[in-house]
Amino acid sequence: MALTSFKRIFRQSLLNIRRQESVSVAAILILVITLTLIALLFVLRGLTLQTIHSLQDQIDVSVYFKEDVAEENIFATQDELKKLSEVKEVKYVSPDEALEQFREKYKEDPAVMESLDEVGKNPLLAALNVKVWEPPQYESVVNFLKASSFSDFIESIDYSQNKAVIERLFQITSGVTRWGLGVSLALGLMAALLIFNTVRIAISGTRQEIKVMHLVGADRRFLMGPFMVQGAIIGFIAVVITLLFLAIISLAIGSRISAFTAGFHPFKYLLSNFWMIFGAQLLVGVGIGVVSSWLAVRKYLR
Amino acid sequence: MISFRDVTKIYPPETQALKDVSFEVQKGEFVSVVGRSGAGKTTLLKLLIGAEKPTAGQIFFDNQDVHRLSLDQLAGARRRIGMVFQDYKLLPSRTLYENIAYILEVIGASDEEIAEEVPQVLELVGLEQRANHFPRQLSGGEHQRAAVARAIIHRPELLLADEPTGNLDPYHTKDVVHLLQKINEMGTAVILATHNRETINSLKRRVITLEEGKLIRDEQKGKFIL
Repeated sequence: MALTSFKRIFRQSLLNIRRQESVSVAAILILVITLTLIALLFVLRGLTLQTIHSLQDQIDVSVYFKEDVAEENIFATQDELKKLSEVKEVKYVSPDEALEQFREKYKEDPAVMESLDEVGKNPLLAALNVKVWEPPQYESVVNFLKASSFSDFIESIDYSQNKAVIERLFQITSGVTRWGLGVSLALGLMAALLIFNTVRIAISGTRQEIKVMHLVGADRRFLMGPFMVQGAIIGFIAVVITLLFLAIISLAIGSRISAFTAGFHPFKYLLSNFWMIFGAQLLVGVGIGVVSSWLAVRKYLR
Repeated sequence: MISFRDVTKIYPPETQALKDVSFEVQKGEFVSVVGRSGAGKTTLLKLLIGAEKPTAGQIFFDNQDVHRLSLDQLAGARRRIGMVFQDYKLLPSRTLYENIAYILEVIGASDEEIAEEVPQVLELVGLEQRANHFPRQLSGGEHQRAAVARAIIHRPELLLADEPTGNLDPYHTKDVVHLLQKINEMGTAVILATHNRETINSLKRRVITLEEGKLIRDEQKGKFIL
């Protein structure tokens, strides 16, 4: 009995979609546009965050040690720094390595090379390059070093030069996260209203039918069932179309985007987040389709 | 089976459709309700199926106050009633076959029963050739016969027929009235609202006469007197 009734509800939904072809196509189209916008916003957020993270990776704090400090003291400092939970990475750069890097960097600049030769000895100091997990943590690492027993070994910390950049970066990161969430929520709400209205308009066309069905004895399950399943099917079709559309677009322009965005490939990003995107779209597409159908039909039963 | 107790219906602002109407209908009875247009016949039937609410009074169907039922209880009561609406109320997006099958689906009949019974009832009302037509493709008379077919397909306990012959030629009128009598003989109570004098006089059954919303006559073997 329950199976027969579900079969009939499902059959009826398919029939409704087919017989109200133009309304169904319009509803699917609106859903596809909305779902695509949400997905694009998600990809844009991913792109921004990845760019910021790659920028963050390029920033570190360099701790320069006095010339006469023994290497073991520097290693001891390195060990202590590694123990800090804020610290992601500490890299030791010896004066020789620093010189090598310097020469490599300015090999095209004869003036610099000449003055370096004039000095006659390696003027560069040993350094520890420290990276932290989050930009605000640099400050506490610097404070730790200044207050520690190693502070006597330290010649300078070039944090203050990077400070402005680090703080700006932190502002952008938190701004993107906050705004991204806000815009997503606003867009989600707009999508919900848009879908609700589409369903409402679609169902209002069959208002008289719903009333007649109730007059001839259809109960709420039998009345709402086909419309809710119809909403779910339309939502599902829209999700599948959206995902296919996104896959094609991101594959087509992916390598071009990847070329100027530090390796961010939208297709790979979508693929690695597939289940989350699919789940969210299903929730929006199917969930709202079902709920709005239920609300719209309920209105006509009063 | 049915009891109207001091039922009054006023459509705002002050159109009085029914005034203090009381009567009872027993199981298996055949009752005609007659009256001029606007006398309250349709309102009376609408109140009985819960499509309108009375301004005062109560209406009972099998000892249940129709207007105190929940939505699903009301749907349950309506599944025991067949109704031929004056404006037919066929579902425009469904074929004639699907319109009639819908009632059987609603009462939970099996697919086999539906496949067997729908063609039979269509043949009974002479619409077997129209099974796959949509209501917009039917004539007035065909609409009316389709509405009758839909109302009787599930052999209801009560059949309400609001002007079921209004759009029919004499030949089909006779057929439909004969059909109503047949259904009644099989145990279904029938309430027929009409202003067709000939039909009422040929039936020789109970007649309730309404005039300006008031019940003015209730005779066991009544005639059409206005």
